Parts: sequence; structure tokens; C-alpha cells
Amino acid sequence: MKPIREDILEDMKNTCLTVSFELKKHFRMKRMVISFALAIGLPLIFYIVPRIWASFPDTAEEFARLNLSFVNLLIIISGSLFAGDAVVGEYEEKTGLLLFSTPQRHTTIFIGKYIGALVPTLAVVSIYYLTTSLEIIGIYGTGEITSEFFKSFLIALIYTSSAVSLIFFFSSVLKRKITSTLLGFFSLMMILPIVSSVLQFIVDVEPWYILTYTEGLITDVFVGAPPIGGGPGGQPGLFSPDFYVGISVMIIYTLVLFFLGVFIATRRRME
Amino acid sequence: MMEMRRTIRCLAIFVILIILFSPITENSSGLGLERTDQQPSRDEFDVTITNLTLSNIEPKEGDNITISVTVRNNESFPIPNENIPIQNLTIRLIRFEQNITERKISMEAKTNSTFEFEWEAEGGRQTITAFLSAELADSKERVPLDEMSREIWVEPEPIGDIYSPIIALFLVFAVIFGSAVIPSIWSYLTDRNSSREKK
Repeated sequence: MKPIREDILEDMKNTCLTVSFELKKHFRMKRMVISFALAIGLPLIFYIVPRIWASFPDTAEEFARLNLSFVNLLIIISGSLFAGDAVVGEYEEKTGLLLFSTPQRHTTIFIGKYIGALVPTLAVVSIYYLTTSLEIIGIYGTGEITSEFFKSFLIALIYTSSAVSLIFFFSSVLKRKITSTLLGFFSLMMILPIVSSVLQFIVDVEPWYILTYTEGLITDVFVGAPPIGGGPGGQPGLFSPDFYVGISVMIIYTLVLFFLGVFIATRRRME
Repeated sequence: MMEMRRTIRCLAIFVILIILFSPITENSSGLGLERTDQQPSRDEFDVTITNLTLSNIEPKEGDNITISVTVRNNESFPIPNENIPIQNLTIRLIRFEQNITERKISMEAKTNSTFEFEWEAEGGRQTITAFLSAELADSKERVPLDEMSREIWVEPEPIGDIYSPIIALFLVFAVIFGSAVIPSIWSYLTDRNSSREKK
């Protein structure tokens, strides 16, 4: 029997090996280049267009709120890109026949794959925030980077981990890469927001348990800026997510879907 | 001859039109009221908002603010008054198209009156607009008389704190990275138990 210390170190080494392999794969497939370009290009639109045709909003908070209301779009796109085929790809392309026969524990493979999808998505979000903060400094000055901006950044990171967990879960359950990527993308982009809107505007119930509803916290923390129309017809929603409940919901989604995804993936057999 | 007939016909049509529309021009209010100096037509009410002030110009979210609306009645008759074609003179306060409050008011002739309203301030940049309107006696249609707006910055209460998302993020990463070593701990514990059982 191996000593536990060696065993733990080996597991950690194997996880790191899978993470580095996944990162290299994303880099080779130009996914990183595409998403990093989007992370720089999208916030630049909010700088270039007003600079040429209009004027900037009056306050840095308004500018940040407007700019960051699109960060969820980037989270969904990059999450689908990096996590959409994380598990299902091994089964569909039969590369799992080689990978699963190695002495590495299956759990470390899937945890490594999850981290390999999470790290670049977090990097994309960080680049988006970095570009936005540089714009704010350029327009309004250094003093306008407030604690609300950091709060929004941290919430965006937590939301990213929950979005990646959801897509990773679909990747563990489904049989086709395209189905898992599209289902992950559309559930965050359309299905969950529609459910949330129906509950808000038709049933008149606060959908605090819906993941995409809590995403509103990313911009809601900028309390000084007027609300941006989010509901049907451009009207702001009837409810706004509670800060602590929203964060708790994101954590629960992240951990439950992550463990479920890893559990299902380790039980799955090659067909 | 033909030219003359056409001219006469045109003149006749013109005269008929004048006769037909003469009651409207004589009594343009259409309310069956004779116009006198004391009873003007519906377009001629000279009741205006002259001032809109806030008791606190640098409030914080949740503060109670008194909004004062000063209205000037330049007419020579008091409102409400049974002999005039308007009634229910109302001040309505709105913020971002949402009603704050509404009140029916009365005014003496040729006077200024100030009306006070209480409002619990909501955070952010707020535009408070006071609308003065009245109801037409005959059709009950509400007609706007005047409006005035004031912009105010209400210091908002911050949402949440910075430590909670930091702790949450730390927790998520710790669990995810830590879960990589759970199988080795689990297998160590189960192996140790099985070897004990064998012994």
C-alpha cells in the first residue's frame, strides 16, 4: 500500500497534467485566441463608438454598468467553447480508449478537465474587466475604479464557475459534442432567461433559484447608475436578485453540478 | 355669363359654410357656457407651477424628503368653482414614469399656494416631475396645465459587501481543487480498513 502523502501528490500531479494538456488543446484549437480577442474587442466597442459618434455616460458607474451588462454573453460563449466538449469529446471521438487506460484515476482526469475549462474562462472574464478598467481610467481617471467594480468582478468570476459547471454537467450526460455545447449555450442564453422572465412577468414570482437571474448582480452592484431595461419590452425586471441569496445560489449550482458531472463521467463507460 | 354664375355659386357656398359654422365660432368652448371675463375657454387657464423645491438636496437612500410645489393661480376665479369648465385640479409627482403621489388641490383667485409632499428617497440619480392637470367638466378628460422637473442625486446604499464574494470564490476553488485528492484519501481509508479486517 502506497503512503497517503505520495498518493495525494500523485493525484495532484495527474490533475495538473490533465489541466496543462487541456490548456494546450484549447490553445492549439485557437479557442483561446478567439475568446481573448472577444474579451478585448467587446469592451472596446463601448469606448470607440461613443468616442466617434456620441459622448460617454456622465459617470464611471454608468459606463461600467453599460459595458459589463454584456460580460455574461462572453461568459456563455467562452464557457461553451471550453467546457462544451470536455467530457463528451473523449467518448465521441473514442480518445477515451487511450486516456482511460492510463493508470491515472478517472476522477483526476475529469477534475483536471473541469479546471482546464474553468481557468481559460476565468482568464477571459479577467481580460474583459481589465480592458473595461483601462477604459474607465482613460475616460474618468484612476479614482473612478471603485470597490463596486471589484465586487462586480468577483461576482462575475463566481457566475463563470457556475456557468462552466452547468455546461460541464451537460458534457458529462450527453452523447454528442454539438448537443452538449448547444444545450449549454442556449440554456444560459435563452432557456433559463425565458423561464426567469415568465416567472417574473406572468406568474409574478421572484425566480431567485434560477442561475441566470442571479447574474443580474454583476451590474446591480453599481447602485449609482440607473437600471438598464432587461425585461420584455426593455423594461427593468420586477425583481432584483438579493446579494447574499444570489451568491449562495451560484455556489450551490457550481458545486452540485461539478460533483454530479464528475460522478456521472466516472461511471460512464465507452460504447 | 358662365363666369358670373360660377362666381355666384362660389359665393353662395361660402355664405352657407359661414352660416353652418357660425355657432362654433361664437361659442368655441362647446360647453353651452357664454364666454365672459370670468369664464375663459379650456385653453386659456392661467394656472402654473412656479417652483419645485426639495427639503434636502444631498439626501441618502431612505431619507424622508419634503417636496414643495408652488402653484400660481393667475385667474380671477377660485378653483374649484362650479361655474368654470374645469374641475379636480391635481398635482401628480412622478419619478421615472412611476407615480410617487397625487393630490387634488384648491386655489384662491390670483394667489400662490405651496403644497408639500413626503417622499422616501430612492438611491441613484432621480428626476422628480410635478404635473399640474385638471379635468374638463363636460368630457371628464384630463388636460395638462403645467409641469416642472428637478434632478437630484440620492446617495445609494451599497449592495452587499466585498468580503462575501471573496470568501465564496475561495470556497469554490478550495472545494474544486481539494476534490482532486478526495479519492486518494478515500482509497487510503478503505484500504486500511480492509487490511485491518484481514488481520
